[in-house]
Amino acid sequence: MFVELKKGSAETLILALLDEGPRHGYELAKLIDDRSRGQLSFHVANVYTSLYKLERAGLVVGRWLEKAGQRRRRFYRLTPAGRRQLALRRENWRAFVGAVDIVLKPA
Amino acid sequence: MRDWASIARERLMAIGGGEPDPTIVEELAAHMSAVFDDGREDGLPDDAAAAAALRILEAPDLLKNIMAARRPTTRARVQQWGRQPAVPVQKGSLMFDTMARDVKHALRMFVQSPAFAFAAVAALTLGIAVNTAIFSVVNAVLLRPLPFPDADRIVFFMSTSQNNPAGFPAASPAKFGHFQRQTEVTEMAAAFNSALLNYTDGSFPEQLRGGRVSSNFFGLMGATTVLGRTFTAEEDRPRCDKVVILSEPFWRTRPLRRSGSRFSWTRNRLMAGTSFSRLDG
Repeated sequence: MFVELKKGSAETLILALLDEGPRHGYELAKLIDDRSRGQLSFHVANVYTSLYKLERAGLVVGRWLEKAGQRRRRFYRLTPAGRRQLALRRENWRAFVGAVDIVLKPA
Repeated sequence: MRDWASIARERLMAIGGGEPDPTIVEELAAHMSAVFDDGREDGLPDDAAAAAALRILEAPDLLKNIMAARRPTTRARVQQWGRQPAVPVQKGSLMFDTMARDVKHALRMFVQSPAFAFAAVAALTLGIAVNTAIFSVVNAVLLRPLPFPDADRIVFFMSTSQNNPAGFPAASPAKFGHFQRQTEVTEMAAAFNSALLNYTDGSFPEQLRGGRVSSNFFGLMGATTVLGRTFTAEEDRPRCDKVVILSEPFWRTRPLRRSGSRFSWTRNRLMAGTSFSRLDG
């Protein structure tokens, strides 16, 4: 569902979820799925591809953490640049949706 | 307990790109492990939970995207190698910027620890010098051909005996004559003997390196004279005139007495040991 609309949105969604606190890839994939009630389900590979791209761009930082009795996981957190980028994307998204709404609204 | 890391690693290697990034392998393994655990908590049998976990690896194109996203860019690789902080680098000047940084770093290190820098330079100098010396010898002995035509056909006769199986480079006149007559074995045979000559006709006495050779020595070695001639067969015989051939550097540089022309020697004799020799040509 929303195949075309989803394109390019994974990175923004990840940035938004990381704005709430550090998370690992599995948690991010599940949160997107749960919060969108299954309508924005991304393939796992896309989640990690987006994470690595964001990390390369300096917007997020990954760090391995190990908890007692659990497999170690890589937790990602936003960098200040990532926080600024998220604010910009939120603003752009709202402007875009508003513009589309205006056009779609019956005259 | 399943080895999710090995499964992920093998799958990533199978889709190409060589040894996968360990971070990707471990992160996918952690993800599959979590899917498997959640599946079992939800009441799925092990096989079904494992199948759900393995489904992650079923999209080769998407897995390739993951590997491409983790692959360091050229700029990132250079920064990692140089251990320099990330700075904006323009594509075209990447190499020169890196080089300039390296030079600055080297100069800073030199100033900070000059003793170490001098030791490093001395070690380098010594190493280069030794290598150059060894190469010069190898080049002269093994690589560079001898400066004679058909050098691979020239052999050096050694006399051997039971007492001296290693041999020594000498032959009596009779044995040399025997060598010369073996035309079925060798095309020609020439003899030579090195000697030191005393030259006293210059402004100061000199000791020169010279040699006594048979008349066909120059022919065998493919050597010709700049001026004059080489020796004749008659001059090989005992009690004939003692004829000398001078090297070009010798007669160009020594202040021999001459009047106008370089061929008209006022004294055409060269002191060679205790014998007088006639200059020829």
